[in-house]
Amino acid sequence: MTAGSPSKKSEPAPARRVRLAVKRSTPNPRAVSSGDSVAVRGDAATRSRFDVFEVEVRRHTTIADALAAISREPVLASGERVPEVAWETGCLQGLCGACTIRVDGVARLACTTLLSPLATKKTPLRLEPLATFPVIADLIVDRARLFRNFARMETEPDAGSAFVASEDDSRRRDRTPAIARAELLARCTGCAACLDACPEYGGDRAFVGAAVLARLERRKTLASSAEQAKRRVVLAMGDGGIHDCAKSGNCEAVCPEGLPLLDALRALAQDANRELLDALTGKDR
Amino acid sequence: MNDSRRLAPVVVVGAGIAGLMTTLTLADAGVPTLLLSRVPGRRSASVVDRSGFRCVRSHDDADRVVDATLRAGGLLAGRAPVVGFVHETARLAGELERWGVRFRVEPEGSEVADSVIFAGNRTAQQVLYSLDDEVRRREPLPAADARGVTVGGERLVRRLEGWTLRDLVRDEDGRVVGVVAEELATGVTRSFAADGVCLATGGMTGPFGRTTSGAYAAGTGSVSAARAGAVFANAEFVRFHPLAIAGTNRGAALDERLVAHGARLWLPKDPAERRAPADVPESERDVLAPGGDKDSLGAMSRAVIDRYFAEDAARAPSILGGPEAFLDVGGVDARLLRGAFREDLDVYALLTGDDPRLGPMRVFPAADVTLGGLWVDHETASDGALAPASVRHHATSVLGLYAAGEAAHQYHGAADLPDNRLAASLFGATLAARSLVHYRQSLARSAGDLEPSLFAAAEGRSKEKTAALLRREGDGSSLSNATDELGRIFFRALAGTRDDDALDLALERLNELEYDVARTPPPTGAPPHFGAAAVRDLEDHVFLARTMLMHARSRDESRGLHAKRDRPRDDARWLRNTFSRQGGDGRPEILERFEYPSPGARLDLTGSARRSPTDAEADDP
Repeated sequence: MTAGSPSKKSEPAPARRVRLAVKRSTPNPRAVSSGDSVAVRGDAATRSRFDVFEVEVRRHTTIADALAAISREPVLASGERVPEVAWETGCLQGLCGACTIRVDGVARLACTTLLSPLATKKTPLRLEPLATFPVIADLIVDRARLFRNFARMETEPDAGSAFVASEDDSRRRDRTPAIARAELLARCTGCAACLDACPEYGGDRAFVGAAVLARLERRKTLASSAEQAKRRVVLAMGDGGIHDCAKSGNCEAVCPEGLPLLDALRALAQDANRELLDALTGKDR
Repeated sequence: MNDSRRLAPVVVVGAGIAGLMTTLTLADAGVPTLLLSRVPGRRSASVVDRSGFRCVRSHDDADRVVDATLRAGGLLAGRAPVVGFVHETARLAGELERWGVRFRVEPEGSEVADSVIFAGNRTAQQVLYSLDDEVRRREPLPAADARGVTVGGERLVRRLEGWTLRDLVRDEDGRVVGVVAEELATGVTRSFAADGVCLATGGMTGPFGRTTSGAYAAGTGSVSAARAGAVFANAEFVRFHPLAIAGTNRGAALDERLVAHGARLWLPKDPAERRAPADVPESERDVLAPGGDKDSLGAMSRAVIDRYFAEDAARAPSILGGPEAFLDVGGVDARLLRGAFREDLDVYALLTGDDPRLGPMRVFPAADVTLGGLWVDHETASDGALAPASVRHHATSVLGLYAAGEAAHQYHGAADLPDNRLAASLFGATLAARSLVHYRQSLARSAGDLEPSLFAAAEGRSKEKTAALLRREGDGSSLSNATDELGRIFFRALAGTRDDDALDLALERLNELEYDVARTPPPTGAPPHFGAAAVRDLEDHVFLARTMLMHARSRDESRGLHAKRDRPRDDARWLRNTFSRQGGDGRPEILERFEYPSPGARLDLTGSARRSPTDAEADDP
């Protein structure tokens, strides 16, 4: 780089120093079983502490950028060198859902969350693993349960036929609000922020949570026949299904995609209630 | 297969679009399949692909698309595989719709506008999710779940997520009979017997410091194959995306179609320009015009990179300390900015904190996809089309090892026709799966019947390698410094217009780096096997970098995405693929020709030309 007299405008905004308190958890070797099923039990988190790092933050610095910088140079604000922070990441662009962590208690994607607007207090910003899943190490949790629940709520293929161009126009015309919502719901990345925020999810409770039910609501709305839609509603009525939802709305508030989860859950609950009522009154729709 | 005591499954490595499709096709053919992946299917690198889905619905269209595909690829792609995939695209789209993808025709498309369909702005992500769901329907439910869930098909898939491929197990004949894999969370390392293995581990962009594919260790699976003797083809062809978003460490990319719809990519005329981009007047901007060049986006990336490196001394600092350009969307139809491209502008605003409607966006060229990869075979019938049943489709040069998706070299040649990749990947995966069905039937005995000591020995080697890494006290650079250095060397030599002196210099510097990396201690992360894995990834990336540099060095012409200074396209000498294989010293070496064992025959392959559209037309009845 040559020396020059850069105008203020062209240079990136000056960096400021921000302190981050990162929760560190040493994995307990006995907490993980080997072999086919990945069973990580949660007592790893009992041996944990917060490490305070100081990072340079510019306007475009994301939490993922800050974690990358910490991993590169794992030195505490106090000057002490510590082991690298374990954190999970993937696409770094908000599409894969791997990097969800708690930032000051709120589940967020590290890769698309800018740090600067959040670092407004005197106290360090707290970075913690999601609370509803077993900790593997530091900020990495085991979300296998989410994928098992996706599998539990799997449904058979739609009837459908080969896609033809002429269908497109009619699709645009027939796009009801429910269909528009269903198309939006397809964007759920399974990041599990909704599950972290949900008062009904976790522990030994069976509730599968918003991510899984929203996917089912989508398949229900786009089902190829009324019978198929009904089967999908019935699927949502099983153990841990739609009736366990307390409609707190926390899921929608934290969803990084801003998906209309509450509407989706309500729509599914309405259909489920209708099924129940029909079953009670012996009415065969 | 007759009377085996224990039948081994087919093992598929990688749960992206290609791996999931391979798994689905195998399961639906009644083959027990074990699917191993580093990350759960929904998180695989396939999500970052923003292209559309090629869907060809008429014969006229098909002929045009086949021709356009072969020409875009500099006539290096095999005609039969291209014809095969183009004719299957509509059927594949139909399947995906049944599995929950909702396709639409967007008003704006690419070159062959009427044959590309989209699922919102995230077609690849939607395809990935539907495949992931379908595969899950074929997995056994957890024992705890006893409810009567409606399921179709046989429950033939076993899936292990969070496992990384360590090694391929081979018998005394060199046939692949299993894999060694490591569970990332625990470091547990074990072997799995396999009656056929398919690698669907993605492209080779990992060694580049700047990629659109995030933090995935892209390409390490291909290195496992190379260590077992698999041949690479056409590894010099890398697509760069000119519109990655500057300001993130590795990145998201804007929709390339923005440029075709009036967005203007420009550089300041004065390389030392220090005004804010919005303050640079129109007359002092060099607009990089799209068009002209057949592959204009690749050419635009090269122009930005070349200028940056040519003006080493004078240039103004960029956000990332590398090539950077500016993109104005002022010329794009406002309806498109509110519609098809809204998400791109939103992502930019989210990642940078700047509003792209108020001033130029900062963008940089980043490695996007690799077009070459593991060489895979195909078999043609007497009419020149793909043989309907074959053990050879998608077989690598190692017996028992197949490859699909971006890991394989097939379908694109020297450059890909935009929006071809998704359908080609899916088609290739179905072909690979069908070959594996035949391969498995042809086996005299299952890998499940082999001596356990064979697998124990392979397991032992992988464990010893980890132990040795953890014992290493080395005086080499830190892992992150070495990774950065690799990215710098490699990007500089390969990203822009190439020349032999620069490639030779890069290869020399790679020697030094390799020496250094061999002494790099694993980072002291907790748990320790995380650190060992990171060093292994870096070593693999050095191998890949060397492979790609050597391929680029050997192709003494310009073709497709490979542009070499003062070396125009030379069809007389170079209408052929480049090949390499690991040599005796553990490093890749370039081959003119190679032999490989194929079930039932030993074939000799020369590096001579695939068919060009003109001479292949003679074969068509």
